[in-house]
Amino acid sequence: MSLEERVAKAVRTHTDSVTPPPTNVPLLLRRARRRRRTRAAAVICSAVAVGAVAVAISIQGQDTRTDPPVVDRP
Amino acid sequence: MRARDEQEFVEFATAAADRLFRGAYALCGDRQTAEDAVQAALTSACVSWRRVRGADSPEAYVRRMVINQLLGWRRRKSWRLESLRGNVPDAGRESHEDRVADSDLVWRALAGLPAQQRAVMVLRYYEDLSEAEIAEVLGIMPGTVKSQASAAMAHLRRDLDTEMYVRGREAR
Repeated sequence: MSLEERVAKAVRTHTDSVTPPPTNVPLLLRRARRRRRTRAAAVICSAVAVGAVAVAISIQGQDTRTDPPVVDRP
Repeated sequence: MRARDEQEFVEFATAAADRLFRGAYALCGDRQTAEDAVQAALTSACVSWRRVRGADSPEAYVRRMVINQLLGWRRRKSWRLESLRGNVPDAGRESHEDRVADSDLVWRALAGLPAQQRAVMVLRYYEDLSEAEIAEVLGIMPGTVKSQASAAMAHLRRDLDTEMYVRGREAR
């Protein structure tokens, strides 16, 4: 028997002898829903953070704007 | 996720879970790790079910997720299958037992391969994928698949020769 055939046989023998565990589909669905909620919350938080930084930058920009020079009138 | 999508996913997961588990087990040789990888991949598939459903073969798509999961864990933990190495069968058995012993020997030698080489061997000889398909699944070049398969074969030959030599000496 060639090495390729021995490899195929070994993998087949060992994987066929193992019994797959029962799939807990409701658990998968719950986990997926939770992950989707977490992602949505993360997106909202990021958007709020970006908005806050933009507002802060614009306020700071207004603060540092130089006032026009005061001219003394005669 | 709409109720119809959810129902579709439930049907898919119920039908494909066993095959995905066996494939994962062939790849890592550890029951618990295989189960965890399949659960993680199915959860990710459920989160992005519309994209998975749109693929040519949703099962192939999820199988790729399982493989990436396992290879990622292997890269991070760099674990090998030590648990499979402690059970060397005795030499000088009868024909059927010899065949079983040979199968164990090859399985243990496979466990000693680097993760990507083992993945190539399992996809080639267990999943019966072509070199191009393996390259696509693993995200590598077809030339790399060839070189990895060749290196894996050389590694296995060396390991099996050494093992046979040790067993022969112990039998004497």
